[in-house]
Order: sequence, then structure tokens, then C-alpha cells
Amino acid sequence: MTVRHVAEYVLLILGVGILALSAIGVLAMRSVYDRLHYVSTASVGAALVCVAVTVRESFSLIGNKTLLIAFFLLISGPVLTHATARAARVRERGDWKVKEGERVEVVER
Amino acid sequence: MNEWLLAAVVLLVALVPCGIVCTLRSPMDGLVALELAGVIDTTILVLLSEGFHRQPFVDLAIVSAGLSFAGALVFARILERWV
Repeated sequence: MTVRHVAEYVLLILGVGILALSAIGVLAMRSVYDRLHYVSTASVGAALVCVAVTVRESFSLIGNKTLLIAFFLLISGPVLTHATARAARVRERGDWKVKEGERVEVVER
Repeated sequence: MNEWLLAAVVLLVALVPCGIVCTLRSPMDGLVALELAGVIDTTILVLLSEGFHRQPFVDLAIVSAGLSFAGALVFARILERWV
């Protein structure tokens, strides 16, 4: 077993583990905002699986395409999270901006 | 069965919690579960392509990644105000 095989297996197991835990997290959490955290985490897991395929196949046809998928998932995850959080807030309160009199916690640094 | 197909089966099982949230919780919760299911689907297609040694099939995963992203954005926009 070479170093490449070890790296491939480690990345695969990590990626699948993160994805499975994300699925359990989405089921276990209570609110939309809590659940949203796990979508970005899942993107990282998927990217790890794609990198595992690239490690196995090197920079071939499938290797380059899986890298492209990993890049796309890493970019699209936060965008989706933001769009969904915004939609949830608008649905809840009518507007995403802070209303007059609404209590907002501001952390000063 | 090789390790890639085994991983694909594990991820298929991971789709079950997403289905439960989609069917039993509120529409916004379901949208979050749908987004997660899109990511898992894309990964399963990559794993199946590698596991069956059909490398051109990874194009399906690219299409799935793009369409699930666009679909989730449209759902978010519609659920925001109109549904």
C-alpha cells in the first residue's frame, strides 16, 4: 500500500463521514438557521471525496472534472447558505433589515 | 464491491434523513434538506462513476451540481415571499 493509497482512503473516509454527520445534523437540529450550518459542512465533505478521486486518478479526464466539481461545491455552498438564510428571515419577518425596536445583539470589539 | 461503491451506498443511506426532514418539517427546513441532498447526490454520482470505472459518467455529477444549485436558489426565492 503506497502513500497515495493511504491518502486516498483517508480523504474518502473523512469526506463520507462528514457528509453522513451533516445528514444526521440536519435531522437533529431544531430551527432552519441551525440546520443551515450543515449544508456548508457537507460541501467540504463532498470536496474531500472529489479530491480523493483526483488523488487516485491523477490529473486525467475524471481527475480534472472532479476538481472542478469540488471547486464549484465549495463556492456554491456559502452562496446557498446565505440565500436560504435571507429567504428564511424575509419569510419570518417580512423584510431582512432590522426593524425599529427589534432587539439585536451587537458584539463590540 | 469496491470501496467507492461502498461509500456510495453509505451516502444513499444518508439521504434518508434529508427525506424525513423534507416530508415532515416546514417548507424552509425542507429546502435546507434539499440543498444537502443535492450535495450528497452529486457526490454519489462521482463515486458511482469511479466505482464502475465509467469515467465519462462524471459529467452527470457536473450537471447535477449545477442544476441543484440553480434549483435551490429558485426555491429560496419563491419560498421567500410567494408560497
